[in-house]
Amino acid sequence: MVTSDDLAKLKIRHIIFHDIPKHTKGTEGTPVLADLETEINADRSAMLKKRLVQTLGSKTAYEIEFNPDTSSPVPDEVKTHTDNRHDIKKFIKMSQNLAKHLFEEQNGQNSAGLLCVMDVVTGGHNALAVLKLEREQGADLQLQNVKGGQQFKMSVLDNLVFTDGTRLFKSSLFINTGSGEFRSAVCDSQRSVMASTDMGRFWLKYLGCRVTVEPRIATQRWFDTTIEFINDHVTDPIVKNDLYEHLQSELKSNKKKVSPNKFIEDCFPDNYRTEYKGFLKDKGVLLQAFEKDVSDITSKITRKLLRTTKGVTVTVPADEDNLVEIKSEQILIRDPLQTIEKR
Amino acid sequence: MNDLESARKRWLTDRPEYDHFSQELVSKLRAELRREGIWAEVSGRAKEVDSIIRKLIKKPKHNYDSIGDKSGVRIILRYKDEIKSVLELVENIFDCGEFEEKVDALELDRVGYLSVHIDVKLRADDALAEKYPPEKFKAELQVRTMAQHLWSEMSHDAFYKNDESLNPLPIPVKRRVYLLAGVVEVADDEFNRLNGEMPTLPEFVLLNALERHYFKLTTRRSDSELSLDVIRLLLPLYSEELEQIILHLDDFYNQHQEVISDVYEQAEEDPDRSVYLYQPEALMIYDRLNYDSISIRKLWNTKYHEGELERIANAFGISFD
Repeated sequence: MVTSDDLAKLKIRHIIFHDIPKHTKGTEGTPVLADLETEINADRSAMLKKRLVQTLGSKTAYEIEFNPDTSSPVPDEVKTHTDNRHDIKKFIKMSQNLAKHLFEEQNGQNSAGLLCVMDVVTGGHNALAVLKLEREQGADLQLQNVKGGQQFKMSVLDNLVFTDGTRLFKSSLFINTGSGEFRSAVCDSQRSVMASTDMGRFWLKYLGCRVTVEPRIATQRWFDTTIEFINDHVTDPIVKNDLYEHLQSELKSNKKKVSPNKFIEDCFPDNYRTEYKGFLKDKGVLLQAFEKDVSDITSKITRKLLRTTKGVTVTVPADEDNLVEIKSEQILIRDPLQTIEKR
Repeated sequence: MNDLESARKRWLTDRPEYDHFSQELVSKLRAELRREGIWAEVSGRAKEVDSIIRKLIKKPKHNYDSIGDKSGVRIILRYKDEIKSVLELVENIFDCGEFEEKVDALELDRVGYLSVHIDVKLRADDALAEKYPPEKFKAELQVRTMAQHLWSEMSHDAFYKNDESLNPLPIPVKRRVYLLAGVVEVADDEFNRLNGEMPTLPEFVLLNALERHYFKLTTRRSDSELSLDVIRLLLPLYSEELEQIILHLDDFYNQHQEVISDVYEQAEEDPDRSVYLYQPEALMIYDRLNYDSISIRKLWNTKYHEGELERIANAFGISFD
């Protein structure tokens, strides 16, 4: 996973923008390709980096990997580009290829936008950031003629890139850590990259990537680790019970994804937050959001509720049916009493 | 006279090289002082041509080649107690002559409040020794406190610079000069003692501990009042005893040193950086953002603007989104 350390150490070496107009069915059209990088000052560079941190470090960023079955040229372009330090001409050519592919992949449903490709370095590793910034249809973006070619000047792009509205964009970062290994992340601030719709999955498909951890595995890992933490580290019985209930309701809710960070924020008392977070990190459990899939833990989160005529309720884990025996006048529980609490 | 003319010409030719030599020494010293976490102002330059000529006039036994201190480097420290560590550090990186502690050479009733002077040259195994051979390139290094510097600067052009210039003056004036020199020396001693004695309150102790790391990253001075305010606010986020907190922050710094150094290097060029970054407590903020960002955000917003915290978080690669 791309870490906060990766993002902190990230430095932008080159940046180029290409304009990708709306590609309506049956129309020809072409992307407007720059053939020179955009020069940016330290101020703009710092702001762009901040945007990358805000999105790729966010709760809605996902760890991704190249999909071996993809027909997208993006993975090969990324690998070739980040394998060695290359010259600027190759960077520009590669970015143009990415732009052409984006234009070909888009249809009438996709908004017009700017493809921004950044040659970056972090902690000595070559990396590439690929972003798509939405822009209003019809916005007048002109390439500027400068010596040696055409470029989008930063002054022209300022409103598109740096206004608060442009927190809405699709982003990705690929860090080449050597020996063919990558740490990569993706974020789509408009919709979940894990959504089942074509539109939702568009950005992942374009990049030729897939989310690294299967949702059902991520969900199970998080659930098991959280249960382990509550059992072994939470001493206060009331807090323990509350946390069990929060966990149950988080997994049974209609929410499509789980964000451990958000769960900590909403449900964990102050004095357990740091420890729980550290526990998840130690166990290699993601803190970022992941798509929820409870198919592997259904039996663990389903509970049988027994209610007596005078208001006694007993809940039993669905897969532990043998713990209770129901007789005509009584319920027999075969489990030693652990705590009694008044509520 | 001809000697002076020739010295002048030679120095005008040689001076740029000696100036570069001074800058190399300055860079080396800055890097070492940073590594030790000691705040200091380090400057250096080759002597002006007037200064060389003046020396040859005043000390006729010298000729151009025998002048050892054609380059000068100065280290100004805050506290007297730091001088010893700095001299040890200097001895480790340079070939040093005898330390000349000017204040020790003064009689009880003599005027002057001066610094430590040492002749230094590169060690033979130094990578730069080929470019600046030690037999040719030497520099006079002065190590002084801010108070010593104040006296030195104020007295430089004045008649009370030394006893010779002071002797012809009427006794009441001489007495005032002695008193003034004494006041500066007492102030220096008191600053030093206060620095050692003040930290009994947790926020002071913590600030001192944080400064040790901070000055490894930058020589920028921070705002102590703001530091103490922020530390007071954030201290309740730690459940350990003060000593444990300091150990934890030391550990945290060591574990994240590479990232932290990188962040400070990049911040130099970021005009939109958080105002809290160039404060020693930035380490504490980063620590809490790393371990418990929810609590620090909640607490921070009770007193300060969240945008500043987000800026510092973003600098350390942490997103609030």
